[in-house]
Amino acid sequence: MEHSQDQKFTQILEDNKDRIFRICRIYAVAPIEPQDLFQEVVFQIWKSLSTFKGASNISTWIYKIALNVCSRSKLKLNKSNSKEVRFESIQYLATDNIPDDNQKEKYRALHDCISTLKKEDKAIVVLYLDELPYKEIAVITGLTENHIAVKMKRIKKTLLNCITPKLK
Amino acid sequence: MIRQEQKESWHEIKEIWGNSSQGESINFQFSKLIDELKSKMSRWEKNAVESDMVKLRSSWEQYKGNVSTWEKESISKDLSKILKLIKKLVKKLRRKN
Repeated sequence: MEHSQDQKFTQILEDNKDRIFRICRIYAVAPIEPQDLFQEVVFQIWKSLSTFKGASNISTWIYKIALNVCSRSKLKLNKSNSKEVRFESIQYLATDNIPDDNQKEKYRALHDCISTLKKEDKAIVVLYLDELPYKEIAVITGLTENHIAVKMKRIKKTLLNCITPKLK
Repeated sequence: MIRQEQKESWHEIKEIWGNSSQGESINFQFSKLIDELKSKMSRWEKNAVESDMVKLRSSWEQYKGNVSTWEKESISKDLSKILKLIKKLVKKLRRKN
């Protein structure tokens, strides 16, 4: 039983690591690093896995956890004013496909613009950019599909106003 | 024209987002990770119990200080009434037996 749970956990992490890390990067504000948040999400998934009954999509569940942990961890880590010790078993390696300065600059612009959004809007746009359908975004955020659609229109406008001059 | 520009900018945003995980790959050593998680879990449980105890103690101190003599007397009266009733009940039960 424990073995199959461990297997399930490893599979979930392998399948979702990139999307989790994307969320961590958006929510990480110095001195908190994305790796700190990533590790917290991993720990939370581990703690909660036994309670996952399959009522929702596994990806929906993962997104919920990641957004919850990332949006609250800032407070938590600030409060304790100390960083958790990093897991040695998670390694962050540089790949050959390193983004150039221009790509880095563009990402920074996007990061800064998303950071100006309200907490709820931030979560919605992150999910939207990950190409989740409104239906799934609604399940994760607890809003209705219509509400998401209306909000997305406004968020797009705000984001475009912010980023367009930075991309030129 | 503006719409077209917006469409293109939005497309670019999506592209930036999609490429954001480039440049870094995450590798797990799973058996080690599971060991680390288990040890962190027991630490976390200990910390959670400890913080609960601290909360209980501090709220008990607060509560203890707020109990007036009148409340204490009233509780002790209630308790003695309950005790008398129980004694009566036990006597009746014994008689029946």
